[in-house]
Amino acid sequence: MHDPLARLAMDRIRKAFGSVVALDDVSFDCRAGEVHAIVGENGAGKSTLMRILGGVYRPDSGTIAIDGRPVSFTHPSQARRFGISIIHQELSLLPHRTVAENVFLGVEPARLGLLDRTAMRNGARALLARLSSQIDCDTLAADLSLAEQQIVEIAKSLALDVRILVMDEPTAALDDSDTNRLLGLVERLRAQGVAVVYVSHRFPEIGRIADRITVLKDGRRVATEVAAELPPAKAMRLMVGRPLSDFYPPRSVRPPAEELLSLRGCGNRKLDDVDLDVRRGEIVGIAGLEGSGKSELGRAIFGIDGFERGTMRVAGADYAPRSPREAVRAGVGYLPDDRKREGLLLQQSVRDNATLTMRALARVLARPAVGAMADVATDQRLQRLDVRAGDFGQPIRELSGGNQQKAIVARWLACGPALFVFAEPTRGIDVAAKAAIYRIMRGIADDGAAVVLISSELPEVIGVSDRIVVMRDGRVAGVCAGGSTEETVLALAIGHAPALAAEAAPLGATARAEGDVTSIDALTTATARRSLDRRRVPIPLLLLLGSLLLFVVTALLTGQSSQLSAAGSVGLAQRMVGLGLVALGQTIVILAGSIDLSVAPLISVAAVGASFLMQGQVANVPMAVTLVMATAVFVGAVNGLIVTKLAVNPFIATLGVGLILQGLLSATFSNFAGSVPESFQALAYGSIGPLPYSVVALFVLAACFAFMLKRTRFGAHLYAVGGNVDGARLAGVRTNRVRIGAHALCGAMAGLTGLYLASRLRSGAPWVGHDGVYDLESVAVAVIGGSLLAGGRGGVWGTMAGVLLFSTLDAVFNMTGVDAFSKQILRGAIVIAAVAVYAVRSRGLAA
Amino acid sequence: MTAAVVSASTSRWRGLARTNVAVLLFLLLYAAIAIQQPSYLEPAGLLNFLRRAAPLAILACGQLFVLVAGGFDLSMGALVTLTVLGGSMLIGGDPAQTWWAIGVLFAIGLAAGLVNGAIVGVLRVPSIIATLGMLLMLKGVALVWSGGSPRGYLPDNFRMFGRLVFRDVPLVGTLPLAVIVLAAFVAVVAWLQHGSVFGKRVLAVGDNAVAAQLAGVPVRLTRLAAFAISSIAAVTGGIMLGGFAGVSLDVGEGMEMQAISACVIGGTQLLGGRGSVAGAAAGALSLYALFTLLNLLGMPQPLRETAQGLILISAVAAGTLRRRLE
Repeated sequence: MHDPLARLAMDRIRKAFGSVVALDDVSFDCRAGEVHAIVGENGAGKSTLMRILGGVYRPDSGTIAIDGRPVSFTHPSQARRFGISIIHQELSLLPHRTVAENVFLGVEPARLGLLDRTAMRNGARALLARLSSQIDCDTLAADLSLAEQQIVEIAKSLALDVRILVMDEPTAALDDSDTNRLLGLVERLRAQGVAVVYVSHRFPEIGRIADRITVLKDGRRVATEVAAELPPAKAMRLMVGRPLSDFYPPRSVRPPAEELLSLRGCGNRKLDDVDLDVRRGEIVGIAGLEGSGKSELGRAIFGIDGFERGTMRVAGADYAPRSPREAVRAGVGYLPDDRKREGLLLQQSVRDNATLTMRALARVLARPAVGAMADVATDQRLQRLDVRAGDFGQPIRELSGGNQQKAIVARWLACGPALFVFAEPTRGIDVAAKAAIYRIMRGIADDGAAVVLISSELPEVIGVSDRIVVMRDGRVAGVCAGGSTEETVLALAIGHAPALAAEAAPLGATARAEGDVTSIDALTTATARRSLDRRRVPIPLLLLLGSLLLFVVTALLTGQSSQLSAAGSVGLAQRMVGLGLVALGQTIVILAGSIDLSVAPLISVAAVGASFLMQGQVANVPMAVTLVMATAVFVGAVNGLIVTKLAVNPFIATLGVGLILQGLLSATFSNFAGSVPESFQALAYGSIGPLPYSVVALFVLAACFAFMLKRTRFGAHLYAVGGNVDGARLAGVRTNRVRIGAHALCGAMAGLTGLYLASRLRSGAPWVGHDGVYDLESVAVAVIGGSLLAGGRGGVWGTMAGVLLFSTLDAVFNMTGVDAFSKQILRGAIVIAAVAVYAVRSRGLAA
Repeated sequence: MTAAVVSASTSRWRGLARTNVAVLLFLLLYAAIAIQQPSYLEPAGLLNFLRRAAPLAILACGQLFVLVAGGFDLSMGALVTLTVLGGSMLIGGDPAQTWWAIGVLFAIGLAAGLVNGAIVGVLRVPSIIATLGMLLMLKGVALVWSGGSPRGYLPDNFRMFGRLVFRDVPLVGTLPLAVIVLAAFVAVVAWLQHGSVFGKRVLAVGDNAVAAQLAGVPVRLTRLAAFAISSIAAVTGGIMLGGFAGVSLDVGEGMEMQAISACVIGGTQLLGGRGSVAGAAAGALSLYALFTLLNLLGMPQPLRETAQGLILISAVAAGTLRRRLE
């Protein structure tokens, strides 16, 4: 039965989750140089099969063989070692890292243990060239379009020397021209001998590239056929189990009614001079390539990023919504294109999701489940839309994409909007659900409302709409009737004259793909421009200059110009040491997407431990330092273990560990305990020439940390874990180890801070950490320095600049004689102000 | 149809089980207390326990709204301190000033809450940082106001909220005013969270703020209200605490973390989207029962914190492990 040519052979795979059998006795194989497509409805078992192949799940039974040799995986990194690369539907790029860093995530080229950044950049450039893409390797992934991100994902698998490439709905978010280009890439990889497993809902593209097709249904394989022998209609019938008649609902025969929405000369930063008319009872499709402004048009009509010019009227009344809420009040509804990020309340019940808009409009103190919001009424609406769930009280995340989408539609129908904007309504949902959504849209229009359908799927726009408005470069490029040919619409979208398109037609797909190359290039230059805009003065520099300016001005104004001497600035630097040491550790933890609130008690433990163990004896110093540091690293590692292995929220885990430490410490020591010998005080008070040891140590450590972040794999993986932990794990990064390492390192830095405080105070007391507010202040300086609390972005020098700001404030308060109490008020205000400035600034960039 | 009924009941059971951890914990701890000190089993003993636990329970119920909306309110403890200190400064020992002073204290609290909400909502500062800044400022204000050494005392008509006990009440014998306030407060916030549209909006904002906004929910206003409720709770708790604790600078120290711990023990999910008033209250009672038990056992005061840390981590770890098993 085994195909000796198969590069990949999965045999009789079974996988159950509890009582639900996701895969039952499924066999699948794929040869080198073959594209084997897998189709099936949501819940048919496609993604489970992919996850087993990728080492995310282990099968209950069945075998996997690669080139005839049996293999078994327990971690995604093992699957990667066999050249298996999976491109998931939800892209796993790290938004704040460059293209090159993303391409080599998990397989960073290193020399003598250090990252070889030149090799990385050259390698990435070569891989992208193989895909004939001109994306700049130094662009941040966040600045790339979806199509470009997809290309980077493919480059990522090439970096791995991919032998089996699995693509899960790779074109779900792409428009037609980008899809064509992607299919070209797949063909090229096939020619290079890669075995490609291609999961998709879209039959046209499967027909174009697949050599064989496997159909899954309800966790079983129902057919594996050569592509030519499985036409779309037959495949669909196998998938759904019944014939799919009337995929697109019939258009309305009624004459057009009165006008509902009209736009005249509307524009904003992305759109210009848009005119649009929508009548009641009509479905108007908006087509266009990615970047054409079609999605921006929907967002502007709904008041998310509104128009700045022109006039908009709804039902004859002026309409200029400044927020979605105003749009909703005016009778406009919106189905967002990114279901997970913008549509769903994943943890809430299906009912709560389906009543959200009604509750948004209801009086705030009204009862939540009365009248139209009552469970019975809600359930009726959900049933009318054929939302399938075991129980409408179950969390909506347990539903399939199609049912989730229908539940969101139900949210709006209850409020009966006059105008309904559907943005990519069928993205990532199966065929049967698609047909249902189309029927719902037609039903809304037939009931006298109007529908604007924004879609990247040309067949859908053409099949459903009464009229099609084609966008290009932020303007309306033209209007076609519903049922026009794809060529007509595409010609308008690309900007070729129709005649040219007709000439190109005999050349077929290749010609079209070439036409698209130019449009992609246009996109790439747009990207370059976008990232140029982002290059502003870096935050650390801004903070550094601000702090110094503040210091100098205060010194001059208060007549203490002596502060401006070398000694004065050394004094300033010396104020940085305590907070600086622990903030370095905190920064590492925050970059990894965690937080450590146990540092203050740990600092106390280290300080007391050091002075108690030393008892003023020089001979005890080595033993005491070793014990203290070992304890600190151990506590950090325990934090890491609780966060990773027990999956406790880091805020709670480290808060708890901190409480435990503080309690034990305060129960044991009630006052200063022991003392450190004079020679140990040199740590705080000794100096090399004018420079104190402690200041030198702080900056040397900061430099080491910066180097570690930039030039080691651990550093790269820290950013990866913080930026996208699932993506990092799928790329083969040992995420738990990285997190535990980050916590251990932070523990070590807290230990060092404790040693430094013991040396400065000559003895440790159980409240030194708490009095210094080191826990919250170390977090604050990191955030002020530009690190994201969510992880994945930031750096050591920003934190150091934040620390400098804090010590400058201390010095300034001293010079101006502000009393100790008002100091605290000012400090609080400045923390908020600094972070607010930063937050507002980054929002300006995002817009 | 039957399947739907069965799963409906299991989901209700699941929700019940989540709260039950805190309730169970409380019953366990309270039983241990009663073994040590049988007087706790009498109505008077129980009511006295509730009286002492009332401030923390009220704080937890207030913090709950901010947590469910996806934020943190770290400024609570400092607001408690400011309430007690400010109360003594405003009243200056003259009982006639009490009612007016209480009004001012609530106004201060409301203002602090609204500022928190505005900083988070409008300036988009992460709430940890915003409320940390507010913590520093409120502490500073308390210090400046009292000149660093609190003086003055609280008159009896202020302290009655914490200490007044009605005698000769039918059925229970004695009834502390604090327990009445606690019951009323819990009833109001439970209605807000579970019986009003507002509570559903808080859940929606905490679950997915973007989705909530795109569905027309006034996200900023909802967040603002959550912070305001949290601050009102802190002032209420502070006034009650003034009844049994002295006027000092550290009276509210660490209470924000205790309130967060109580909510989390009661099944609230950090970063939003899940939590119940009953759970928060039960969490607070468990925590206070734990403190009481440690006291009765003669443990040194600081070990309270150790126990709090242990119970916090194990409660959350138990929750995640159970979800993993499901």
